[in-house]
Amino acid sequence: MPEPVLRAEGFGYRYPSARVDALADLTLSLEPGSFTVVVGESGSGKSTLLRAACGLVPHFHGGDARGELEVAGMNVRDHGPNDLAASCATLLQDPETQVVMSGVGAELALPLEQRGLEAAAIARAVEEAALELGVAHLLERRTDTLSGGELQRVALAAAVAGKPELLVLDEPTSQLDPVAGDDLVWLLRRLNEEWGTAVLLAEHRVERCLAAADRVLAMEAGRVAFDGGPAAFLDWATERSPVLATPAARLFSLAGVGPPPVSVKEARDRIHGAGLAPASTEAPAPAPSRSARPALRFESAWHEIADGPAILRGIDLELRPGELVALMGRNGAGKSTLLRHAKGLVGPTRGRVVRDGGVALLLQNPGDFLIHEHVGDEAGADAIARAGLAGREHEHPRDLSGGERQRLALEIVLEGNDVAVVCLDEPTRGMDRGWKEVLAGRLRDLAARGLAVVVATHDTEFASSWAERIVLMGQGNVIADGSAAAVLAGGRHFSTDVARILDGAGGALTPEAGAALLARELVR
Amino acid sequence: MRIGPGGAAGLRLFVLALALALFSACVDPDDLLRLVRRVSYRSALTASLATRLAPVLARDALRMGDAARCRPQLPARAAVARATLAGALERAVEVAAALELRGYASAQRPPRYASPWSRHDLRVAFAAAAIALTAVATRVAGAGGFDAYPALEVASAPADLVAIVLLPLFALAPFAGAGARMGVAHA
Repeated sequence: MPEPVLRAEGFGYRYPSARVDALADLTLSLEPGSFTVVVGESGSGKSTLLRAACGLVPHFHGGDARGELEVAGMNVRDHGPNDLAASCATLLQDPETQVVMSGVGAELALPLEQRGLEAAAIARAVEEAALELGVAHLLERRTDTLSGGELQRVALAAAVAGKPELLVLDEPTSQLDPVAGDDLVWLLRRLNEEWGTAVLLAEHRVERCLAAADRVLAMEAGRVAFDGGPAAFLDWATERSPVLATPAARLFSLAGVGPPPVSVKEARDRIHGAGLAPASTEAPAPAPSRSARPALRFESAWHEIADGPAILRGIDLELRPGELVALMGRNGAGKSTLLRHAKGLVGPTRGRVVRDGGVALLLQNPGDFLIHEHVGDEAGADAIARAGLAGREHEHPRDLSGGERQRLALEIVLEGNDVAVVCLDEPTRGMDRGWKEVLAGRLRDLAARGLAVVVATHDTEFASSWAERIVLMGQGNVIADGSAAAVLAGGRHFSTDVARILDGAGGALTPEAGAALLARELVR
Repeated sequence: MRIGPGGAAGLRLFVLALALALFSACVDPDDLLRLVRRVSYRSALTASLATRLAPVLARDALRMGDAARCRPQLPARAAVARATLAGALERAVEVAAALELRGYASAQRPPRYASPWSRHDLRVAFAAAAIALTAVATRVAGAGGFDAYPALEVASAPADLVAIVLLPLFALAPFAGAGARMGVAHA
């Protein structure tokens, strides 16, 4: 029996100045060549577990560690990240801080040079890693010219070029668009299968990686609450922690049609096999029509840059008070630019933007809005209370969690007088499902107050939970504009798991709507 | 031709900046830093990180500025600058963690790479040799001299004019030809 690549025995850890343990009584072992996904809500201990596996905890962060945790036979209490680097490669969330060299080739070579390998061995390892990770065509490129997805792929290639036994990844897809995120997960599966590298991956969007995994660890309050295979995990999550269950699992659970499926393919096969495929030909309901004067209107708005393509190409769009609109499209489609025009951060090169009141815009990184030393200085008392931070006015804003930062930043931009339109740019990056539900509730509240709400997002599951209208952009144009059911149920990439499982029948997007549709089929 | 002291100082700075800009545009910074790393590893890596992260931090500052414009009341510039600095420090900590994970603290001297010279490398070598020779020849011929006081006086004899024409031409030689690429010397 091979030695485990990671072995923990009663391991616990507490961050400096923390009152509670981040990890407690951790006992587990990871076999060589295994693919393990770590899931859990924010603050459950996922990231701390991964940081312990690569030695950052306790050596980089300080704090108190107890018990045993060995990686490749080295105890992390005695061996820091430097000692573990040859056996354990690590990839963190933000690709911008993972890449340190100016050229891609040099980036891949750096860790091998640091290990003292010969030039010929480095050249071969760089070539093989580049081919395996699909970045060979980027080897001559400068790193500052790469997209986020390319940068993360290069960082991954640099991490695995030395053929580590264990690859640790902390939400590596959280900063990427869905296509780049899915590509990265399948690259990991390939590395796992072809190189035998054990993978330990933390991920919020469980549905993205469950089909690739052999094993799932669910964390709760620093402890392992579940440890088993993907199918057993879905059974457990459906019962114990529905917020961690995939949309497909929730669909099957709500419809009462047997054990939860691990993948969309399995779900579709089982529904077709049981003769439950809905044959609904009902046209999806249109978005509610509103006759009020538009709160925001784009009239043939263009955004052209001097030495590049047009970012917006004659956009005509109206948003009315009370509308809940999701703005979707691939990276570079023009979503963020459209929102910046809405706020007036940039002006159209042709056409015009007409506003019937103020526009509040929450940009992608909520931390950028927090500029004071205390939470209480960032916004008024009412706004802080609405952000759920009453009583924490004396804390430093940078000590807030991601979700808390976002709630506070949203209330800061909403503090202006006469706000008629609220725009949010990619607000769900790195957010767990619980936070997304809270945010969706806040968006509905704002719309109920008569504000037009428009959110740029890649997250179709999130959009389907609150949006009544979807505006789909491509190459600077609006390529689809209609009700959420009409746009998302008919798409392939821009679609939800439930719509894929049910082939878009009845415009069902959410597990609840899908389950209602299946219930009708069961009655027939 | 006579130039005042301020103009002379400005011209010197301009020529210096231009020379460095041309140098960094025709030499791969990673190759250069790899050479320096064999002598002083930490200094070279610091320079490498500065090269890589300066544009990232500039983007961070722009983002913070945009966020400030999205607040109902425009905050004081000092507050935004302080927050930008705090953000840069946060990013520095993340980069430090990434370096730790790459085995930075136990790094060894990088190997010597023996790669064949490309057309671009040959052009860079030719330009460097030609500039050095022209400079020496100009001095030997008694041309290229100048008086900085009371005002810079630039000679305009035939030998001076030849040097004035040749030096920029040689400096631009690496960028001539199909294989020239800004910043990457592997063509």
